[in-house]
Amino acid sequence: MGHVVPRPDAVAKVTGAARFADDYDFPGLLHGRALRAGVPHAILKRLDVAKAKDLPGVVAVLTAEDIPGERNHGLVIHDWPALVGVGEKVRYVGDAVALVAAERREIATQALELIEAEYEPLPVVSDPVQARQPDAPLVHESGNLLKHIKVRKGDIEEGFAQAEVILDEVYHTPTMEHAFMEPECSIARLTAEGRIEVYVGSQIPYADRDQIARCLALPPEKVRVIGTLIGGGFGGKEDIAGQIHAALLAQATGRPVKVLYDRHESLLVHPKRHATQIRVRLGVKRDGTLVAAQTELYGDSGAYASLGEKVMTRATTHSTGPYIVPHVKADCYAMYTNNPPSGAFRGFGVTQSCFAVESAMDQLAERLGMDPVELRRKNALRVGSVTNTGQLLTESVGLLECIDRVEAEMRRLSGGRDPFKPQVVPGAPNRVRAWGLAVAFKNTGLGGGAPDKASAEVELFTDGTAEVRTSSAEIGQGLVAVLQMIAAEELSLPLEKVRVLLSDTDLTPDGGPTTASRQTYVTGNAVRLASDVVRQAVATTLAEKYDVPPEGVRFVEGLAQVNGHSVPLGEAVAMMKAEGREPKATYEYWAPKTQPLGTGGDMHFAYSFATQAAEVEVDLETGEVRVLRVIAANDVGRVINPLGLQGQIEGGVMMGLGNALTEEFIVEEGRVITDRLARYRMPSIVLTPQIIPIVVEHPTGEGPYGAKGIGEISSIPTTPAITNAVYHATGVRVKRLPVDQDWLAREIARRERPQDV
Amino acid sequence: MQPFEYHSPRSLPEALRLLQELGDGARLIAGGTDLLLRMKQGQLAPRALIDLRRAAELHGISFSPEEGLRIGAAVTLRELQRSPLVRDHCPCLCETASWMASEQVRSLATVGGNLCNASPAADLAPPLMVLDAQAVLVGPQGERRLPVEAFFLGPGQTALDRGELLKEVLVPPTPGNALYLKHAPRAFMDIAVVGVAVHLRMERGLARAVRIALGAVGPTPLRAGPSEALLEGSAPTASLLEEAADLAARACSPIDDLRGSAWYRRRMVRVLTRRALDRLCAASLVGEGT
Amino acid sequence: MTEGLIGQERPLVTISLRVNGEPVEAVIEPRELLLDFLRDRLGLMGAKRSCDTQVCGACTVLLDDLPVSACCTLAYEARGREVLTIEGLAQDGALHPLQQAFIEHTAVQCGFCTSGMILTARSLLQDHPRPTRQEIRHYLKGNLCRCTGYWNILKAVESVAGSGRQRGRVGEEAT
Repeated sequence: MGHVVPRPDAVAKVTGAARFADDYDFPGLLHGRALRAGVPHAILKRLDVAKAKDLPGVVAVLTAEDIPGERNHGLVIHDWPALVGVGEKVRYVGDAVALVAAERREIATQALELIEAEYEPLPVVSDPVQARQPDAPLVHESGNLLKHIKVRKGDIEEGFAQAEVILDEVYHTPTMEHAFMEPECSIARLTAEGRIEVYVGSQIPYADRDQIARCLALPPEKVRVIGTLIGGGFGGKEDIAGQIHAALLAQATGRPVKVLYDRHESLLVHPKRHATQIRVRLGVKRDGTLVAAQTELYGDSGAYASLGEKVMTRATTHSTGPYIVPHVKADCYAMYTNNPPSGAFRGFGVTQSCFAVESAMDQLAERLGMDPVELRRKNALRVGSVTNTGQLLTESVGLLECIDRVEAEMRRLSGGRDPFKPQVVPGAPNRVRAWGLAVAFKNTGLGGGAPDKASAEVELFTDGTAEVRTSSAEIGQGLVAVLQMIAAEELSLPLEKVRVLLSDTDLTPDGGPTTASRQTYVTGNAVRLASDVVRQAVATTLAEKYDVPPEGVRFVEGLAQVNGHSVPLGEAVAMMKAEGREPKATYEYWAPKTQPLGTGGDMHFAYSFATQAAEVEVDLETGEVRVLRVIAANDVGRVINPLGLQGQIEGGVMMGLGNALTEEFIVEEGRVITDRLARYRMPSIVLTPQIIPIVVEHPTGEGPYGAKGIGEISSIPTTPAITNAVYHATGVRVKRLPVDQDWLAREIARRERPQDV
Repeated sequence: MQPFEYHSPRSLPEALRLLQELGDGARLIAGGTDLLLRMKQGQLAPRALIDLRRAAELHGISFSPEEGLRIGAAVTLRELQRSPLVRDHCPCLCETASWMASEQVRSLATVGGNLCNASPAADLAPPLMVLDAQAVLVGPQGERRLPVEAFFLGPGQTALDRGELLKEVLVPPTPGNALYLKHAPRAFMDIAVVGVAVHLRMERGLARAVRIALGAVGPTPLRAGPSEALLEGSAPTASLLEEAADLAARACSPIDDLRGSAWYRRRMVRVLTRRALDRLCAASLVGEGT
Repeated sequence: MTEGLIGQERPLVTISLRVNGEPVEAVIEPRELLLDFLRDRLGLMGAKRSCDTQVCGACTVLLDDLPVSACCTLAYEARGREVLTIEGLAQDGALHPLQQAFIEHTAVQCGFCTSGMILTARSLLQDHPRPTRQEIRHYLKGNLCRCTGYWNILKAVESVAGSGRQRGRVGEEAT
């Protein structure tokens, strides 16, 4: 544990040998495409596919009536039609109305243009606040409210009555795009046994299998989902993309069908990060002790539920920050609109609420005339604190250490100057620098009472190697290396003797969704415990043979040592087989039970904590913001793979930087303006700041070796650390993301010469 | 992309003949970085492409003391950026090329393509304008020369007549200094929100041959005449430079779009003009002393 | 924009070029993109389809040693020229120093940008054997990566630029 190990998949990835879904080919492969409605809200009045069917090279054209099973899919609520039928409603521009399979992709594209579709437009619901108006048009017959989420603790009236200073602010965050480098691709084919195989880079293979099976009216075991490598996910590959369409076309044609999204379709169709409006009201004593926190969130869940309710629940429970607050009232309205659906995106709602509450905390510190770090330290959650959902934290709360260490490093780098005071760059009077700081927490695991389990199988072979099998997803984060290291540790094997097979619903047991920073903890534990069972079985075999108690068998570097003998593991496996014993074990690991929101108790089994400080340089004339350095401390419980951890931190910080400064997915009246990657300003290498990682280890008892999640927390506090730094540099408070340089230049100018603006 | 015929003339006369024969259904292609994108997106569907890259007359960069620099229309941005001749005689153009798009695009995109697309934000336009460059157009009737600023008629529109193509650009020798400053929404490969080019030389403490051109703030790249007039022959002071920058901001007619508001563009014209003037005056003053 | 019907007479051209050192000859339509040519005809899957609009760099290949976006380059443009894809970078089973450095510095996560990133870096090092950090940033800005935050990529490229192994390599390539 904790050793530096190169990624097992790296050689394939640097030589071009790595195979992603679009890299697979099959004899007779057809190309499938979907016709997208292109209108945000409408009734599909007429659909004529005759001309498309007649086009030479077209093998099948399918419409809603051709779906043999359930029309709708969805991870939680089945409200998302695989195809919209005539007389039915289109709820966003990316809704599919017909499918084509053709000999070549260009023929499929041409066929789409020959399909005649007529729509009766309906008034568009374009934002979540509008969606909640009593006279708003209905996106779904059941109403526009997907979920009203409530957090209650203490007595909010009483809390504000005690407060000596009250801050009340509203913040906005835009829709965001994952911009994973690999656009979605699925290939489906029928097997000789009449089953359907789907090759796809998916974050939740078992959920894909079940959703495909329901639409095709097949029992789930007739569908096999085979995970390919994934060119980035970040939450954007949890929902169904082309999986069902490819399977429907394969079923209809009897031939393999590839459904590859081009970037335009990818941008239009897949769920995004929720745009939010967040009001934060904080009540505090003059000495900085928080006494009341009230928040009101509106989340734009778009046309379909996806994971909207879960995401906005996380946004809500984290909306008062990682602080001790006796009186809390939080209300969130997750609303349906006619925008592209919103779903999972690294941070899972906490990215948005962290920006709001951490901006508010900085404003509050200023109001109190208090150091912003001190205000946070005073109120930070620690062991023994009770969260806003009523959870008593009994261990693994490294927030104070994160704050202390980041502050010390920031002060060291500032060379004795006040890091929060603007410093003019020598020789460049128009450029100023300052630091900003923010803290965050993020749950590990599904929580909220959801059963959170993962299964893993570990098998030993007579050649002395081991194979780990689970359907969890490697989305670039480095899961393969982590599972390999855990199995190697438990089996006392050299790393190279351990193989990891992921994401095949026939061959690998269900590892659960790759989401919620849960894989190292939940699947890691499943692998650890499965390995342990196998090792004990080997020990038992050898113990019987050498007539010693099983604990007398030691495992060292691929050898079992017993009674002075050194037996190679492969030989021991051969012995087991000879005795008819299986040298493998499957372990279904259940993470500690959690409680639903509103019932008190442990809503989550672990939280990761972080503090980040960012140094920015602002050009006061152009409004350009450069992030120079970021100090990032993360309490991850225990480090398993240092290189993987470092990668998660650097990538996370960069994503937070984009969130703060450049990225915005623009939708106007339900129409997607950001329909090309060039229009989505994701940061290039030019913007990479120096990142100074600090590892904080407050182990969590049940995590594998004490580990908890890192995938999301690394990205969450970056944005408010940057925007707080912008404030310290310029005096302009960012309440709406991203920090548009046009806007910032105007605000700076307004302060200097109001007549110019 | 729709099917098309592809022609690769080996010489300029052959290219002109093909252009004549194939008429309006044909498009000229050099680097193709813009054209192919538009064809892929279905905005254009020419029946034929005439590739200019194999016509030797359109290639090459040369210099003569009388005529100055001659830059062939098919010279790539990468070649322009790295040309020792350009670096010696017009370093501003190397610098400009280095700020354009990405390495991948610069490998293919050409000087001629950047000008003939006639984007109001074309990066090469403002510096060529302040360098007093001439565009050499060639057609069935022979060659003609136009100042680069007269080459742009509107967004996507140039002075090229039917059957004509851009052969090369001539940059006269100049004793002055030029600078192009570009502002884009992020330090990435963006199209300019504003581009400002300035040329001047200092003679006995007075600014001479002051030329200022602005990109992305009007339907075509444009000259900031009032600023030039103010500075020409003057002894630049901080307040005079500030005033010239203000005049430049007033000379343009920017629009609001996704990349920037009109207010911001105007402000950036002022900021960049002032910065370019500051740097050139400082550089020229230093140069004068030596 | 609709396209011509199947079976309609379409212009075809013959091209010959070298791909990863091997001669290749093919009859293609002039509109065939280099990316489709490499992936669909030659089965070279290292160049990736990503943005489709030459802004992300995932499809970067080297055309006569210069980086180009294969998604917006005609295959016909490569006639008579040399194309290098990621599959051709390792020689005699030995990884190129850049490939090795990307592994050692964990400059790889999901791996989708990796081929293009390495090829662009290879072109940079041919150009500037010892680039500054600023030059690396500038040269690689057309290659987007969403996973790594780029820091390890910078370090990987720097490590090769600063070591003798790369200079030897470039020397070999020049001969």
